[in-house]
Parts: sequence; structure tokens; C-alpha cells
Amino acid sequence: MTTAAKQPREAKVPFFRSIQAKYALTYLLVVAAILLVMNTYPVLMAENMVFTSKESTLKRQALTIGSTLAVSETLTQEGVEQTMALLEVAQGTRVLVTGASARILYDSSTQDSRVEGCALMGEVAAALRGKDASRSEYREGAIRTQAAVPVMYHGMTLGAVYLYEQDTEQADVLRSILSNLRYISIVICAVALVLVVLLSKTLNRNTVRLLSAIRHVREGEYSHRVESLGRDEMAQLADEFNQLTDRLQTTEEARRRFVSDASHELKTPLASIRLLTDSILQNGSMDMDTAREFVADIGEEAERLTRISEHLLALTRLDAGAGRAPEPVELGVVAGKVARLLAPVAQTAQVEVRCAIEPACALMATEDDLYQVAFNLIENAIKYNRAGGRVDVTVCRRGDRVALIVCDTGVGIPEEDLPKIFDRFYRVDKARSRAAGGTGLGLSIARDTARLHGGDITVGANPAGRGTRFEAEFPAMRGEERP
Amino acid sequence: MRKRWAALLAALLLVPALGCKAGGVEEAGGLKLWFPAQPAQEGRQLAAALGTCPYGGEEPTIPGLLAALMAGPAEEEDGLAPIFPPGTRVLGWSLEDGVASVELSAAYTGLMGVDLTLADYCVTLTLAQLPEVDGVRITANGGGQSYRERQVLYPQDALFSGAEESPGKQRENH
Repeated sequence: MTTAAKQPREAKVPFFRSIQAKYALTYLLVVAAILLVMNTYPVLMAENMVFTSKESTLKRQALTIGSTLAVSETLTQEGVEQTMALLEVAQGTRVLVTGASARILYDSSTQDSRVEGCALMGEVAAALRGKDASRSEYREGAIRTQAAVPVMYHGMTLGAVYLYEQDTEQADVLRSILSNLRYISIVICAVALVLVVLLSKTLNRNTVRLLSAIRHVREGEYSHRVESLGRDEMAQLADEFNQLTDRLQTTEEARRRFVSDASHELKTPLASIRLLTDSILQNGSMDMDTAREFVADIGEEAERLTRISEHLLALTRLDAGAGRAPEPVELGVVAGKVARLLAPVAQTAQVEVRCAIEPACALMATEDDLYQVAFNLIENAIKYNRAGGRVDVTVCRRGDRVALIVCDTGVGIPEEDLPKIFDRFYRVDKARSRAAGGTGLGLSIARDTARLHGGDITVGANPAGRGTRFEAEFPAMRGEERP
Repeated sequence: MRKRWAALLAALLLVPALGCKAGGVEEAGGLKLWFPAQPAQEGRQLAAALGTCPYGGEEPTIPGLLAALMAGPAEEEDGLAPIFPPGTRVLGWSLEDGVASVELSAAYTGLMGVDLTLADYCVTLTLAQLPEVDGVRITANGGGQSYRERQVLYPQDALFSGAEESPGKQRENH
């Protein structure tokens, strides 16, 4: 792993497009909406309550006055004055009494009495047309309320009573409520702004950290990990990132090891060929038998090179996932073919090969791939056996799976080597493997091929005694896949 | 970014235009025509008893104003009603010692009660804007109106609000 960390390239995100800005803006909008509601709804409610209450009170007073005046057929100035002198009116309230044509008969105002004038308010006009009317509003620092009712006598409109009230005290109360709300809102806005900036920065911190980690890994620093804090989705993302980087690191290490091993494996036969050819060239007086022997060795090394190249190519194809479309293949038929093909090899090695093959063990695969798997397993069982030993090949069905089991009575595999037996270029006994012509890739190819078709190969000691047991298991062909 | 600045600049330039009154430039020295307001509909806030609209005529004279009043409010002046009953005509007018006398046809006598008062004061407030007119006398069918103790109407007689403000300020606020 690289120890000197390269500074990863960073593209600057404009602030107003960053996640932090979006968080901040979202929170600020929510706070602004709440403050807006807080500044309008309570104030409107309070205003409405005050206005309604005032209109109601004033209208009641006007009705009282109106009913008191409605005692004769006509309203006269003198009569109204006499009646009004007996009535008590709330202080600060101006009372106008008009005739049917809106001419003012009585005005309680002492500063600006408009008797003989005409009351041209909308409320008075409405009252003279037979409807009660009232209105309350906040204007110029005071709550101004007016109410008018008709004076009716036996269904006839004699005139109207109009009341007007101007209240600065309650207006001041409302104004101070509004003002206080405004100050509180400003303070809340300021505090919210600070909190929002801090909070959005905190929320965004993990994202920024993860982004930086991704950039480090992209530059090749596979050992870089992210500290995962908390239990939220960001912490899960950090964990997933760390696991992904673990796999990347493992894969990278495996790749480097493979390249190193492949180079070494290819270099060895090449070095042998070079040595042998140099010996032949430099030794002018070598006898023919020795020369023939050297050339035969060169041929063997060349064949080994060829096998290694072919196996590497096969692995490359498996890694790429390329291959023909699967078709129904009888595992037992393939295993039988391989056993017959290897019969001469087994005879030479003085190893007995016995087959126990159940019928109807079909699976979806390619015949070549299954042949490759069976060949590797059976050939290894013969090669790594003793003279007089035995190889048992079994093909059977287990529920929805089919299995190829190869047991030998050979030298066996030490337990500590079992987990590594499928690694590329791994050999338990290098000397024996080279002598047997092995490349160290056969089992790796067999397992990768099995996994390509949904199966797997497992290994263990032969339960019958000494030797090894390989089991290749595949999903059986389903009924709907049968041709 | 440039587009945003251009849009902002355009908006700023439009602000003065938005500040203009709807209805365009004020006509003929700012004279207004007074008309009765339509009665308030159910659910709508009560309107004032009288409303105004700008006088669009070229001549700020008594006959010009009377003709405009006779024509009634423009269609777009939502909320204003004609003053005179159908068939009302101006039979004649005169001006003496600051009092304008307006003689209307008999159809005017069809108005009664508060409607008559509102009509009287629409004419009075409109004509009293002329500097030469202090008060207005309205006759119909050869006679005055019985409800009036005084037959000459003055603009300062009109009360638009219960607030104790000067009549001039009341008319201004109105």
C-alpha cells in the first residue's frame, strides 16, 4: 500500500449549490414560515376579536338609544335632545341622531357639533335603508369603531342612530403586541441563522469526509478508511465504503500476487530452456544422447509453458464471464467420458478408477466446462495417488442439486493447506507437482468454472481413510428447462 | 449571474411605473365627480355613502361638471351609481354671489329620503370645487325640497366620519 498519500484533486462546489447551503436554506425557510405565521395569525385573531367585541358593544348601545327614541311618529331636534339628556352614553363615544333624510338632529360632540348638517357615512345610509351596520378598523394609531341602526316606528324609518368610538389604549396594546412579536422574531431569526449554519456544517461533515476518502481511494490509496460515527445512514454508508475498500484492497493484493506468481511461473520454464540451450551451444563436444536428452527437456519445458499459457487464458475468460450459452448436459455422461479417456493414464500409474453414476443428473451448463471440471478432479486423483491405489468417481442427485464426487486413496492434503488449495499457483508439494506436469492453476480453473454455473467445489479428507475427497455440486436442471 | 442582475435592474426601473395611480394621469386640474356608492353586497365590507372619480372633461365649468354628473360614472368605476333618476335633465343654472342655482326637471323629485340627500350633496360637492362656487341651490319642478331647512347647501355641511376632524380633512380623507 502506498505510504506517501497523494493529495487528491478536489473540484470546488459553489457554496449555493452545496448540500450545506441546501440544508441551511431549508431550515431557514421553515423558521421563516413559522415566524410569518406567528407574526400574522395571532395578531389577526387578536384584532378580529377586539373589532368584533367593539362593534357588538357599540351596536347594542345604538339599539338601546334607537328603541328609546322610537316613541312617536316623528323625530324632532328638541325631542331627541330631551331623550338623549336622560340616557347615559359611554365616555368617548360620539352619538349622532339623524332624521330620515340624514339631516343631523343631535350630535353629542361638544367640540364640533354638526347639528343641521348631513351625516353622509355609509353606515348611516345603510341604517336609513333599514339595515344595521357596523365597522371597526385600525387607522392612524387608534381603533375606530362605528355602528348605526335605524329608528323604526311601526315599520317606518324615522331616522338613524350613529355611534362612533375612537380607542387609542387598546390600539396601543395591539401595537405593542405586534412590536414585541417583531423583536422576538428578529432575535429568533438571528439565533436560528447561527444554529442553522452550525447544524448544516455538522450534518455535512460526514459527507465531506466520505467524499475525501473516495478521492483518496481513487488515487490508489486502498488502505484509506473512514471513521464511522453514529448509527444513521451516513454511518452505514461509511461502513459500506470501508468494506468496499477492504475488498478493493484484497483484490488489488491478489492481483499483484497473481501477476507476481504468473511472472515467476512463466520465468521458470523459460530459464530452464535458456540454460539447456546455452549448455548445448557452449558444449561443442556434447554427445548425441546427452544432446537429445537436453532437447527433450527443452520440449517438456515448452509444453509446460504452453499449458500455463492455456490455463492463464482460461482463467482470463472465466474472469470476463464470457462463454457459450448453457444447455442441458448429463453430468454422468461427461464423467464417464473423462474416466474412459484417463483410463490409460490410470493404468500406467497402477491406479484403479471406479465409477458409480446415477442416471438423470442433468444440469444447465456447457459440456466443455463440465468436462474441464471432471478432467481436473479425476486427473489430480490419479496423479497424486499411490501405486495400487483407487479413485472412486460418483455422480448422484441430492434433491435439487447434482454432485460429482471424486475420492482418492492418495497422499492426501494436509489440513493447513486445504483452504489454499484453490488459490492460483498454489501447490502443496511443488516438486511432485512439477514432476507431474502441474501448473498450479488446475483446481483454480475448476472451481471458477463450477461457480460460473452456479455450483462450487469443496475438498476434505477421504472419509474412508487416507486420501482426499473433492465434491463438485451444481443446481440440477429444473423441469421447465428440459428441452 | 448577468441575467439575474439585468432582471433586478429591470424590476427597479419598473417600480416608479407601478407607483402610478391606476386610471392614468389626473385630468383637468384634479377635479372630482361625486357619485353615490353602490349599496354594500352581502359579505363585503360596507362602502362609504359617496365615492369619487376623476373629472375627465376639458372645461372645469358648471355646465361641464353638470354634464359629467348627468352622464353618470364610467363603466370601469365599479362601486359608483348614477345620481339622477332616468329622465332627469338640467333645465338651467346660474351663479350669483357664490351660490350656484341648478334647476332640474321633475324627474328629480322621484328621489326621497337618504337617496335625495346623497344626490343633493353629490352635486354640491362637485360644483363647490370651482373657486367661484361656495354653495349650491337645487330646485326641481320649480321648487325646493321640503326636508331642507336651508335651501342652499354648503360642502362643509357634509359629515363623512364620526371622527372629530375638520370638514376639509374629512373630504380629503374621503
